[in-house]
Amino acid sequence: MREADSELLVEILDTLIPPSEDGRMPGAGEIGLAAAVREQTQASADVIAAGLAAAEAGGFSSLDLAGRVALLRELEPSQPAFIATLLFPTFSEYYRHPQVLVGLGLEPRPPHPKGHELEAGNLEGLARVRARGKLYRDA
Amino acid sequence: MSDETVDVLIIGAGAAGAAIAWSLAETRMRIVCLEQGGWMNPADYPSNRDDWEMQGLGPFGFSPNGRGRREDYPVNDDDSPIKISNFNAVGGSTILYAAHFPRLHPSDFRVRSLDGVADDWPIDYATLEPFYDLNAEMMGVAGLEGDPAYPPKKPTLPHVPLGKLGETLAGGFDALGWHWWPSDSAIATAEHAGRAPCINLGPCVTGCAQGAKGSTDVTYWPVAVRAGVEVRTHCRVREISVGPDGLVDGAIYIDAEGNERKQRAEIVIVACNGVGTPRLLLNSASAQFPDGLANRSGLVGKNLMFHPYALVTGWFPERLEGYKGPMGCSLICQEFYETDPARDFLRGYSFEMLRGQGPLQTALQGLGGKVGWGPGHHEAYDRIWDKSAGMVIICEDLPEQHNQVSLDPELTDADGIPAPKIDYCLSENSERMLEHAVARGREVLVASGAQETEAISPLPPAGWHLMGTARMGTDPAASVVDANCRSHDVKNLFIVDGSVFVTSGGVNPTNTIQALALYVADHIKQNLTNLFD
Repeated sequence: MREADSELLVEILDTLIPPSEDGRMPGAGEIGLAAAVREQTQASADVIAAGLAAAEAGGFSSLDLAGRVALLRELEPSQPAFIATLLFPTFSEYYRHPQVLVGLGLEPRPPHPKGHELEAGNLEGLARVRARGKLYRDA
Repeated sequence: MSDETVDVLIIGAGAAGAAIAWSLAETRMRIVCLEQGGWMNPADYPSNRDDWEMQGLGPFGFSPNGRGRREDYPVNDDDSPIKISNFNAVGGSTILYAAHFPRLHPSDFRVRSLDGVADDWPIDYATLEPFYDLNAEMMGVAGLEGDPAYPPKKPTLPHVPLGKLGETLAGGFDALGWHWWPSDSAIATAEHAGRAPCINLGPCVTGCAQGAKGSTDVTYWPVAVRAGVEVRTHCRVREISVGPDGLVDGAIYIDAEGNERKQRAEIVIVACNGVGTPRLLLNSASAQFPDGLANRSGLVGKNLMFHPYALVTGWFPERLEGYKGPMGCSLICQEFYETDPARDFLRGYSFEMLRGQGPLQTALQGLGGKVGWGPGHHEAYDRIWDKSAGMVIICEDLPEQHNQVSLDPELTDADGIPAPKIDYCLSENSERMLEHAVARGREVLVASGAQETEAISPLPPAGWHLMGTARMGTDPAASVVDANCRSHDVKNLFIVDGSVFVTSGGVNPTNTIQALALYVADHIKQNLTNLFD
C-alpha cells in the first residue's frame, strides 16, 4: 500500500469512528489501527484499493468531517463492499484498544487474573417463590 | 499393531467418560480412555488475552466446523436449522459449556405416562437422585437450597452472585409473580477440592482460566488419573471391533503419530456424545452387525433431540455490569416447565438468564443496525454498551425418528473417517412452545425495565445438547440400550452419554449425563462377578 493510501486509510478510519466531542473516546485512525485493519482485510485488498482510489479521486483528504461522511456515503453505491469490509475489523480492533477501554470506564486488561467483584444480590423475592409451594409434578 | 488387553476401554474423555472412569477406578481394573483431543492448558484460554472476545469467534468458537482444529471432526449440519456445537479435548464440551447444572424433573422420566407423548424412561428420578448428589460433590455445584421447582436437593457451594443484572431481572419475575431461583451451576464459588474460587471473569464459554468452572479435566480426571486410569490423548477411534463370539473386543484407533492401532478390551464404554456415538457405532458395521454396531433395532442415530433455543434480549436505560460474572449462570425460571393443558403445546421450557456482553461483542452486535459509523457512533454505542440483558429459552424437544444422525457419504475427518450428517427439523410442538416462550420472555424483560426487546428464535448455533440417538428402554426392538445403558445386542458394550436419553427435558443435560454415568458404573461394580452371565 502506498504511503498516501496509508494516510488516507487513517483518515477514513477517523471518519468511521471519529473522536467523541467530549474527548473521552479517540478516533479509530488516531490510535493506530490502520495496520491491523489492513492486515485483516488482506483477502479483500482489491476492494480496499478501489475504495481508497475512489475516495482520493473525490478529494477526501481536503474535506471536513461532514464532507468526508458525505463522500463515503456517495461512494457506497459504486463501492458497496468498501465500507462493509472495513467496519468489522475497525470495530473489532477499536473496542479492545486500551484507550477505548479506559474511555468506556473499564480497566484496560483481560478478565484474568484480576476478575471482577460482584454483589451476591437481593434474594428477598424468593420468599414469595417459596410461599407458592411445590411446583414440580410427582411421578 | 495391537495393545495388550485392558479390562475397560472408555471412548471419549468428556463429561460422562470422566465420571465413569473415576467411579470404576476403585475396582483396580485396568482402564484406558481414548480421547481424540488433548489436555487443555488454562493459560491458553482467551480470558488471559487482550483479544479475549475475538477468540470466542474463532479458535474457541462452539462450532467444530468453524474451529477446524485437527482434534475436531466436521459435521454436515446443512439440513438442520440448529447447528452442532461441541469441543474435543480431555473434558470434552465441558471445556466450553456455561456450566448450567440443573437436574431433570421427576416428570421428565414419565413423559408417556403423564402427557401421552414420547416414552417413559426405564429408570426414574429417585434412581438417579443419589448419583446427582454424588456428581454435585465431584463437580462442585453452586446453588441455593429450597427451590420449589425440584424435590429437595442440597448444592455443595454458595450460589453464583446475581449482580446488578441478575437483581434487575429477578425484579421482573417478581413483578409478574413467576418462579425464579439462583441457578445450579458447576462453578466453584468457594475453594472446592483444590479448585480456586470463581472470580467472575465472565467468559466461561471459552474455557475457565481460573479453573473454577467444573470442566471434567479439573474435576474427575485428575482424581481418576491418580487412581490409575490411563488417558491416551490425540487418539481417534475409527471403529469398535467385534470378535467371533459377537462381543466387542476393543477398538481400532489412529494414535497421535498417525499410526493405526488396536486396543483390546473386555468391556467397551462409549461416551462420545449424541452425535459422536451414533457416528462411531454406524462406522463400526461388520458382518455380524451390517447396519452398524448395536443397531439391530435400527434406532442408532434416530430420535436426535436438541433443545430448541431462543435468545431474547432486552435493552435497559442504565448500565447493568453485565460483563462481570459467569455469563450463563445467574438465575433460572421454571414457571412454564411442566405441561399445562391450557397451552397449545405439551411439555415445557426453562428460562436461563444471560449476562451482558463485553465492549467488543457489543460493538459487533451493534453492527447489525443499532450502531452505525460516522458522527453519532459514540452516542449510539453508549445507548447499548452494558445495557443489555436477556435469557435463553430451553425448550423440551420430543423424540422423532426422522430427526437423525447418519454417515455423510462424502465428508470425512482428518483421518479419513466418515463424518456425521444431521437431518433435523423443528416439530409443530416445538414451534408453538418457542412462540409462547419468546412472548413470555419479552414480557418479563419489559417487567424488568427493558425499553426494547428483540428475539432470535430458533437460535441456530445452539446445538449444544445432543440426545436420544441410542435411547434407553426395556424393549430391544424399540431401544438401543437397556436400563443399565448396556447394548441390547452386545452385552459387553455400554453407552453413557446423551445418546441414551429417552426424552430431553427442558434443561441442560450435563448433570443428568454424568449422574447416568455414575449410575452405570455403580451397576457394573455391583455386578462385576456376573456381568456377562
